[in-house]
Amino acid sequence: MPPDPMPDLPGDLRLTQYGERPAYGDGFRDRLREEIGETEISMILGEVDSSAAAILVTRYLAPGAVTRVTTVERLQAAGFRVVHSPSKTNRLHVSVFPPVAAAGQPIEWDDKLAQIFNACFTDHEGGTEGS
Amino acid sequence: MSTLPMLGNLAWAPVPAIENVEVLDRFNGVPTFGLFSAGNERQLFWRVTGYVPRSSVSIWLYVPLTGADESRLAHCDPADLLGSLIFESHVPRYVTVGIAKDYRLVFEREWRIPENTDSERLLGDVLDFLLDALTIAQHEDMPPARRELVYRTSQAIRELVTA
Repeated sequence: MPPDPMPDLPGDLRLTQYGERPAYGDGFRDRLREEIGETEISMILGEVDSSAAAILVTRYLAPGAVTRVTTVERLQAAGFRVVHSPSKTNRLHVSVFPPVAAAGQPIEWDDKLAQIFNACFTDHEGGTEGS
Repeated sequence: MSTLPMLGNLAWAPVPAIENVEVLDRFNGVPTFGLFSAGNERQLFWRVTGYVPRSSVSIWLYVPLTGADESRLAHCDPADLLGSLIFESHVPRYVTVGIAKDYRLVFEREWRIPENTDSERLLGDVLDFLLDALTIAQHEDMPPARRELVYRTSQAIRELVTA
């Protein structure tokens, strides 16, 4: 069983997003594709380098691996919901969900929201912007 | 009922009469590593590559488990499954390689992984195998839409091989 998730993530906790630079991949995902089952954006608890992130996400040293870093409070300040959601083989898994509108429904993750999401990241390790 | 992955199914639930899917890991909400049961048989599924550029294509591996595998798995950390089943296997493994577009299988072929294949070699071997298989497939008789799909997929894999 995965470990219990941390109920409240400290605001200054760093989070790492994994991506694969072209021509190995599409860079960093910066929006949901719910129509094909991508219902959250995955992050890694803490700051890890691209090799460690590749091992966690792909299970090998994927060529073209890149990472970028943000914090919980940067994402939350932009309205994103951040949840520690460990899987059975990745206890550092964090889910990022879109902001919720007044009616309680998640807002659409469009180009504007993707820009806001990308602006939450400051540190890149060899990466390119979103996809 | 066949337990071979079939075209049109979800990449992480690739057979029609699936009984159970145990998701061991996911990325962006999509199961990327786990086990599924069908027809009294379990298979490991693993997304080898996530996003082949500009194609919405991902590559998947399906490993049928033997009785010996099941015994080993009972005492194995889920994170070590790939190592014990593939990377440290002293015998060749017969698997299915699948290509999914938007996470639906569009191409599959059975493949033999040589013994003691490490992860870096596996990726290169999978891509070479798929490129050959797609090239052969393009010479088969098929509807124009499928021919276009096979051609575009082959181009995407070729770019990845070149990279």
